[in-house]
Amino acid sequence: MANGLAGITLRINLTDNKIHRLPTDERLMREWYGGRGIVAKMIYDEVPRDADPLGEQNVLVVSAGILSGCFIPGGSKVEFGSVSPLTNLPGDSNMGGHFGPAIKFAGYDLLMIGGISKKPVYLYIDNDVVEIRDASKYWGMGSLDTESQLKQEVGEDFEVVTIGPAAENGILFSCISHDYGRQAGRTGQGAVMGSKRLKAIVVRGNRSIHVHDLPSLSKHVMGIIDRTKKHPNMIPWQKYGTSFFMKWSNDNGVMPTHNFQTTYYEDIDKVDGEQLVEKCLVNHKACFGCWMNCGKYSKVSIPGKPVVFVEGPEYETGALCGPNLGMKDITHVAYINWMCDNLGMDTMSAGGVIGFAMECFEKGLITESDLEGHSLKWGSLDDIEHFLNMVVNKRGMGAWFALGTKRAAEMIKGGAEKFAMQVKGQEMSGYDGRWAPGMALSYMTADIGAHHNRSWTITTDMAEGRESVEGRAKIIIYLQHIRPLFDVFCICRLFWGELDVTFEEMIEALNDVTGWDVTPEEALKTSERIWNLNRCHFLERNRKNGRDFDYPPARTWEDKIPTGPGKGKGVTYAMIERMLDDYYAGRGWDKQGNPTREILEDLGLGFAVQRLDDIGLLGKPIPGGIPSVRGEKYNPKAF
Amino acid sequence: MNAELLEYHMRIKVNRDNCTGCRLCLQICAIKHYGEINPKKAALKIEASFPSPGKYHPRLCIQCGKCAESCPQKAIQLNRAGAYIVDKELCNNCGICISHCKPGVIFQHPSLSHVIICDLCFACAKICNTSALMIVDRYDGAKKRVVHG
Amino acid sequence: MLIYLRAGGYLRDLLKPDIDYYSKKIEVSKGLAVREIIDAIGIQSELIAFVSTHGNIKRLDYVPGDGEEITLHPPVSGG
Repeated sequence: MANGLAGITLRINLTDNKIHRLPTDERLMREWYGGRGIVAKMIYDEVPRDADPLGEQNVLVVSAGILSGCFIPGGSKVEFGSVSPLTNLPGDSNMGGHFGPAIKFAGYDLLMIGGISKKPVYLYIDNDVVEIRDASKYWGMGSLDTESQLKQEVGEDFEVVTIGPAAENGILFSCISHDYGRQAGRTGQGAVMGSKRLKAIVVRGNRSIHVHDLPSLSKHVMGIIDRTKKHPNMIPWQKYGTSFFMKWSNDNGVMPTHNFQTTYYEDIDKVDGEQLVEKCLVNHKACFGCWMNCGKYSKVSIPGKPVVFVEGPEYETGALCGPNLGMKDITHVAYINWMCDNLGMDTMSAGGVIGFAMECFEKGLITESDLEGHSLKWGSLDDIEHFLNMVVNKRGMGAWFALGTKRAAEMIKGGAEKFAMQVKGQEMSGYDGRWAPGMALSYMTADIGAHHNRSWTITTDMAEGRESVEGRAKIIIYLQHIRPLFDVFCICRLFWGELDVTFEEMIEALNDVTGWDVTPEEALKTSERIWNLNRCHFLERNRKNGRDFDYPPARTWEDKIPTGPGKGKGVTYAMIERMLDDYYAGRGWDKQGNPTREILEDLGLGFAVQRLDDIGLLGKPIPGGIPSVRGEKYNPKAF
Repeated sequence: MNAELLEYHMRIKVNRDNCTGCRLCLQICAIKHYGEINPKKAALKIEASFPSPGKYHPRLCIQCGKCAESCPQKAIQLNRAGAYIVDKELCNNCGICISHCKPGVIFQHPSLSHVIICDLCFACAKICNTSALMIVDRYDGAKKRVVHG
Repeated sequence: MLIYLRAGGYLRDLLKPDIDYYSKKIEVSKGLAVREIIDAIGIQSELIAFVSTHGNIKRLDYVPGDGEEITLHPPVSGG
């Protein structure tokens, strides 16, 4: 088939070691496009609503996406998804590097991995050869170490994803790692892989990916390459990566500092992007087909610690494991990054969890006797190292933090829930929303729990008013449709969004690859359908009104920012309520945050109507009907 | 030197330190020569040494001619630009040239009945954005050998 | 004195280039920092993360010299 698809879907059952090859369902791909779309559909269809996310019935979906490997700039991504153990919602996380393309060059579009293996195994894929192999000797090994050893065993030209001890031990925010620096970090996909005792997947292939119109695609791509190489933003972007923006966040009062207590860090100069490039950089690292090479591979030498190599820290890790933890040395932040990478945990959630624990310690809610005699002070690398050790091994109170900040706070009590900076169980990203109300709403309504990838609005908030919520919801709804399309097509938003490649060009490239006749309107509507499908799935699993889950922690409205440029600023509870009301109305959901029959039918999700109705969570009809268009395109360049 | 001959002095220089592993070179090579997206049909390869020291190594034909010397079919001939070209009719894919290729940059692929050797089309160097692969004059204007091959 | 501002993306939309696709020529007083120059032409300086000149990164307190070309860089919206 010449449509960008490799052609085969693999269904693997690790309970009975069965591997089935099936032709990839083209009709399903046309409808859901693959990537995040197919993940949402497959877990909705196949995972029972009462299934334990760490149990046998959860399915780990690995989608290599339509555009991955297709000579598209940034066409490198792979999407992992399952029901998230961290949030009990549909979870998905994408990853760059070279794994997605490798799956397609081996001949596969989709891996559906179910069941639980009796022993640790890894999945071996070499073109037609697909085997479940013993991984006992790798069990317990770090993610990075496992990749290195496995490549020595099977061949350096394999692409590899691994989990670390964190995922093996069921730490709920553990990640899947690849290529010494790329991760599928959010929503605990690593924990799902670990629960199946699947230590790694290795892939190699020498097939071609056949596209519908290669001459046309080539022409478009070469034109984009020429144009973007001359783009004004190219050079610093290539040279510094994303951590260079930390100073800007700080100067504008959105930098999470000391567990989001404040939003301005006095010692930013010790931990920002300039420091990283100056002190640690060894090599720039790129994903497949991308010349932006935003990866910053670093060597970290700290007296008394082993010399380690790590890709990063990029912005999120830099912020959440830097100012958020009171660190005063970029090499220490990079070391924390390395620890998380090798243990195999999401650096964002880890930064959130450590920061939360540090504030608990500061307030005396946990003490040295809870920490095996150690302290947990702001800025202390040794304290953090010991704490992470407790968490990964679930020793003592480490077992509470292994569940994420939400559940840890519920167990610690004493008012800790107020400053567990998470929504729906997932920790926030590296921006504080108190002086950027759109960002607060973004965290509240992201479908996988708090995350910035679905919608990012700091500059919109600056342009529209940082203390107003007027019109914010509609802009966020639009962003929540357009941004996840990158995860659907498995290409990197950073390349496209930051270098003026337009949405129309992306759709043109999609049609060159597939021979389909997708329009921008259809793509946005499909994205909206995926969004609503995930909402339905979430309601069916959690059996309470959506609104009950959409609030941020109380710090957001109770604690005004105490210092820095944002001093005295903060959103009020009334603003939060107003934003939610606007958001639900804008989505065609009722005031309880539940999708209505009208919106579901408009999106071709009629099959979900009865299921919601049966549990009393079908949204009540909206007087006047649903908006004819959901979401407002605020900025033509807003990706 | 007249302008025409000057062209034939161009070679590809590898600046190892600049390679980021993006593999655009592999993609464009296969697209240009075979009209397919398939890095395993490229005439070069990228090796990597991770986790330490964390560098990429593009391996490229150096036009040393050992393949041509060793070919029993005489299927590999030097052209005027200094590139070794495989005659697809004469080549029987025996692979003897591969055992004589020190950098290991002759490739075979199950879908092809001949070996793959770089023909110095420069597409890889043109698409490379970090000058890891650079087009240079082998004589550097001073009649001195700048780059092997 | 004259300086040249360059920008892509939404900053370009705000800048309204007049020389080429990305660049605009403006007359400014000596001694003004980039932040003040940008505010004076009606662009919110918060929307700019940093600037660059001759390939070197500068913050918004940089004071350009005569004839200098300053490229404006927006923040990246997350990775």
